[in-house]
Amino acid sequence: MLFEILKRSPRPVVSLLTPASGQGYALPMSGLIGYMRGTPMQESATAGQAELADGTKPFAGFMTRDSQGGGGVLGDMIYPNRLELPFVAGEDGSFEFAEEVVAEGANLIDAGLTAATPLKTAISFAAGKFAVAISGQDAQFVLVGLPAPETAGNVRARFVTMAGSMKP
Amino acid sequence: MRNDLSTMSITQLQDRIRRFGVRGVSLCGQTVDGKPLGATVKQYFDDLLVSITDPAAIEQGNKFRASAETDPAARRQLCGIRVETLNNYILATNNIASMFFELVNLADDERPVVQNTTDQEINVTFVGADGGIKSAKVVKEDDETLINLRYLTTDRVRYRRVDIYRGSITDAALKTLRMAYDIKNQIDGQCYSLLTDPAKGAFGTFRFYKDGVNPPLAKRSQYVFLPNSRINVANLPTTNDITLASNSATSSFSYECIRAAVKYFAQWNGAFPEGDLSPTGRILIPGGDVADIGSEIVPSGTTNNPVANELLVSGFSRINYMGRDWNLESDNTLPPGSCLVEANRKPGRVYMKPSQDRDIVRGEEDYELALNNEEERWAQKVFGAYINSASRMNVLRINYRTLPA
Repeated sequence: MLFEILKRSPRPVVSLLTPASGQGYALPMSGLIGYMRGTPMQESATAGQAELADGTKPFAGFMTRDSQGGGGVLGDMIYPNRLELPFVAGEDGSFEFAEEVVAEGANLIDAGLTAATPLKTAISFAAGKFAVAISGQDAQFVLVGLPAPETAGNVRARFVTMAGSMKP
Repeated sequence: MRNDLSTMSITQLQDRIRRFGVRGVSLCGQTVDGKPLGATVKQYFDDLLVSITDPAAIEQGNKFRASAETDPAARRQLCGIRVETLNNYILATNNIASMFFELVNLADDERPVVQNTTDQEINVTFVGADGGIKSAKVVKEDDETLINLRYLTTDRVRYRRVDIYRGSITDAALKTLRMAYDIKNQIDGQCYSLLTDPAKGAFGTFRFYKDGVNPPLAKRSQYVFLPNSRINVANLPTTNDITLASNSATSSFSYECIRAAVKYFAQWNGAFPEGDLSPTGRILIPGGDVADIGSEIVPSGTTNNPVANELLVSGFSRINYMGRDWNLESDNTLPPGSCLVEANRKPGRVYMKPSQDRDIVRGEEDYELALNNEEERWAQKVFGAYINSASRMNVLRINYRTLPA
């Protein structure tokens, strides 16, 4: 899986409105355009509205399901075995924190974070992706591992929550 | 005015069905099961008519619709579509633990400890008529090892309980899990790693007392075997990891492997106080190699021997050769090029502690999980395994192909 929470967080799950627009890529499961499960979000300047996390505001959590325009499709109702139908883009979604996560691929990992990035690097977000923290950003995770990716060419990385704060 | 089903009243629907039944009486011919067609169709519509107002039939219908909430088969029937679900997940075979390890269940407060001991040969000599007997002292050189136990635990697997549109999705989520299989599979994998471990595993050259290898082992009980002084050790196997002399880069499993197995076990005949070590007949062979035994016999011309005839006619899964039935079992986890032969005694032990097994399911009753619309489950088992040096000979590996370096 491209996103997996390895250690759950006791922090409460947050509910915010998912971004209604700017749905940027084809979702791995449905192929429809939206944001995938695990996309890091933060609360935007509009109260109650989520936006892609960029390290400038407190992190709200990882989206717990895919979100896509219009939400589920007819096939979601008919085909057996479909779980966790997607959030309707622009409507309420849930966001959970995590103590330890693993993420992979260009939809979740910023291009500046590569297989050569040193472990213990402070990690923040850029455009809803894990990214190497830069000056002025709120860094909440640390890079602790670069496991073999599921898809060749991807960067797969494991992050743990940074307890305390790093000396600037 | 034409009525369709969606706008008909119950009375109109009943009237329509009654008329269908009356018209059906005039049909000629027979149903596929030989009944008169006209009467059967009339009966069908009459039953349908009754079912519209029959409380039992209504309840049956309601039950079916309710079952369609959770039962995919009922849902498909209700929707009038047929969804064929194909699963591409394939399973690893789990043969190692059951074939080469003895399962021991421990009590809650037990810890396994292994003691290796050995017997002492007493000299028997002629003496003069007036005595001259020598003395000997019993010396014990036992060796004890504590076996560590570990917890083998699944991830905490979580899934949503309810979907706002689909209702309960717990059953559908659980269908993707094979938690019990995954634990069993992990145990089997651990057993294989131990069995084939170069340092702690079963395979390799046997060390025996007075084998001339320096340095000698610290205690006599640490050797694989301590031979009686009359044994000519040239008769005994030197290893349970046999490489066939005829191997090449393309050679495969063949009757020669079985001959090697027969020879190996025959070499131990009469050696063990607890009885002879013998093959059970089960040979675990990599799935890619097992059918290659068929290439030894060409199905043309005359094959006038019973072994060849049996293979050609009955296949390779069970063959009789050199006076024994052999079950050639395909295993998709073994590396190609070698097979494992099961004996009537196991080389290893697996320890478990059922009293500490855990199979936890938490959901609606857990406040935090209920808040997040989640259920989660995980399982845990106590696991410990070891292979004793003195039981290493209880398994045989035959390498029948030269693998690239």
